[in-house]
Amino acid sequence: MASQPPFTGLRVFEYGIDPSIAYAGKLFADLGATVVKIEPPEGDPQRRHGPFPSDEPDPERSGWFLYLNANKRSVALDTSIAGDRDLMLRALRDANVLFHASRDPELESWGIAPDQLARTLPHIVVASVTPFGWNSSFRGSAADDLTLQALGGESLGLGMPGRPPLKLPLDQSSYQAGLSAAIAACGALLGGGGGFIDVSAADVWATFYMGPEVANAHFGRRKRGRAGHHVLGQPYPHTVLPCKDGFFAVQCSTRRHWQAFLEMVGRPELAEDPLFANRVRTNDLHSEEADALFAPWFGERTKDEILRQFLRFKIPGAPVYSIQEAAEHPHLEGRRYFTEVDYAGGSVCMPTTPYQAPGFKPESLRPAPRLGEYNEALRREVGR
Amino acid sequence: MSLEGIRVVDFGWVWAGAVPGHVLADMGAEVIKIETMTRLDYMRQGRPIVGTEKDPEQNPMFQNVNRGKLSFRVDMTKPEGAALLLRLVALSDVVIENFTPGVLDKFGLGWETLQATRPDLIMCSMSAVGQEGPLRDIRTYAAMISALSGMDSLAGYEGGRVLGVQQSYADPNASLHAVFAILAALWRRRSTGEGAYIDLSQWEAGTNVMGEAVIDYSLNGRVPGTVGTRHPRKSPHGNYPAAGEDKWMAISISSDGEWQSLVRWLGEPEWARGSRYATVEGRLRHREELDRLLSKETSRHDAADLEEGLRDQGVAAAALQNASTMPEHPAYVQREVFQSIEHPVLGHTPVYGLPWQGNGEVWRVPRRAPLLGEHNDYVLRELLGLGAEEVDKLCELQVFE
Repeated sequence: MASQPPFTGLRVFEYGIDPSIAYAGKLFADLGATVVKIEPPEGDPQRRHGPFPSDEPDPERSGWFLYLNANKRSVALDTSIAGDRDLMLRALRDANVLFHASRDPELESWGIAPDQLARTLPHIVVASVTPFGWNSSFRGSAADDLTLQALGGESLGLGMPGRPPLKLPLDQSSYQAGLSAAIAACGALLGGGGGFIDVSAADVWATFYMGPEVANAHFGRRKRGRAGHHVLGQPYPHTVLPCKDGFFAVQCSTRRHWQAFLEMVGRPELAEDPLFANRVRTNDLHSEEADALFAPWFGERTKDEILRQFLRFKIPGAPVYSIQEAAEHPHLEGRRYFTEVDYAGGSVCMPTTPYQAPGFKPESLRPAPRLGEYNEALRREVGR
Repeated sequence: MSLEGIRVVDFGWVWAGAVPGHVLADMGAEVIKIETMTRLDYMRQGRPIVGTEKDPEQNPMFQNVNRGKLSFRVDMTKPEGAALLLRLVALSDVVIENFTPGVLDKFGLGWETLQATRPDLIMCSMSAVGQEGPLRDIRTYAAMISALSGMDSLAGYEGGRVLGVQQSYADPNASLHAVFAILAALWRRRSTGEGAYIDLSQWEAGTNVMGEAVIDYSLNGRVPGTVGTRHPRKSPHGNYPAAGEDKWMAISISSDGEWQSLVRWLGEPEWARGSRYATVEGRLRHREELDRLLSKETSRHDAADLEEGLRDQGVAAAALQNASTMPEHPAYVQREVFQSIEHPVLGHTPVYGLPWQGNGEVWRVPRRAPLLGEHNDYVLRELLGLGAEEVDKLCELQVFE
């Protein structure tokens, strides 16, 4: 008998506009939950942000909206109107989980703040996702991915010394806050359902991502500053090196890796070279000089040729794949990581789930819902 | 607690492999870390903090990502060790491992064997690129995962050389996707009784958080290069210098009103008046010169003043923190994000909490990370019911080294 998706029969709602809860909802939708997105009458602002097919703006064709909202349903509600709030509350009675990201100043007077909803609807899990936490004196403060990565300690280590720090590409704060919210919500379901989960996006960076570094720093082992494509305090090499068709990431943390690396590039004599007597020193003080020694070997080879050598010599290393190379990689294709979704008169290739298990790969994905397409059905359902 | 009564056999190690077990322990599961001195967890290694001798109990990072667990020291390369582990799995609900594919099979602890002894078992393998496929034997650390995922190709100053994500971002990202998958499987098992073998790919977890770029490529054939801190709809949007050595301020302006608030707080400098930067179109068009001018202004101010002042004006702004300054920040202090435990060797040791509160309560770290082999007695005698004689015999065979 075929395994059913894990969240078959589970009803999940999203209220409040934020990519974080859209990712949380996506994680549930991809594993079989019925996920209903409550949008304002004018639609989720993400609908107006690209990428669009052929770069032509169309709120029913936003690519990012599609990625986060495939397989979901959409209801358009104006929660400033009592009737729509009533509909929302009635719909939530049959729900298992509500992801809540609204910080509208009127929420409390409307009775739909997340902590209020958790009291009104004690049988459902209400998971709030906000930049600093619902229970925080910064509840109403402005923030986005850039400022959250800054506060979360990610940015300061990225980039070149003497130049402004960078940040991790794309909206990683939303992905991570959504992922933590999905975990916390599922934990609460397993604990019997019900309750108020208050996720802080800033806290996600501070804990899972920077927490171990904070402990190191307490004992005087703070990571040193930005070093571009190197990492200070690590044995050389720990970097990305240019090759014939791009870049290749290499990391030889152990002596065995280093010796195999030198053998691979045909320079075993460098093991005795004073430049490499202390590889951490080499990395921190002479990395450019060291890079130059290996540049010819890498420069003559493509990233996939280099990868074959690394596999043969069992050395940690990987091609820096472009988005195109990742999206078209036979390894990922073989694992059915991508799927085609009919969309905008054509089809688009979308990531599915990063895990394989019976029932854990969506057999097919419906495109993201049209705004309010579920309104009538929802009215019928709660009216019965 | 949500996972009370759930027992986890945790072969996970280093960073990515260790986090799923600690999160399950945080939720109330009994998590037994399988350890051996012959293949000591890399996170137990490193220079000692107290004294000069190497000591597996002194890595502060280890204390964080293994809190809440128990430790069973056993050599699984010995048949007697593997046999004990098989018996332990029979009493458990979940197995976690992040070895190179095939390692557990080699010791007779592969999925088929484990499932035969425990039919409703949930097992999560979380290797670099999954259990099958042309790249399955690739050797990786987190940096290799960001390279494969496509993230590295965007990481660098706009139009500049690829710098890559020289951080361990890919580690917790893979761990947390694994946690979600395990919880989903536990949820299904409750109603169907069915276990699951979950084959997670760290690469795929990495590409999963690059969704908008993948879709843009698929729709429009666009292949992004290094992007810096540029934002398609926001300007200013970047990390600007503040007064002092390596002090920086993240400022993100998403509306014309926020721009006016920023200008007001800066004391309405001459260059910022007028129409040139009044609209988002203008600010995006003249982005580079605007960044230069704004940098001159911000570098005159203390980062903490900028953060507080701009926050009060409703502007998204944050001083860049590092691992030493973060525990002092009021956003983290009030939520008790950084907690501490007393460790028999390290003494007072910071341990991070969870990034969520449940029903208004701060979650508290219940138990420090285990000493190597600290719970062998519990596992051997209480769980497996071995007598003293049997244990002695196994000791002679050096099954516990």
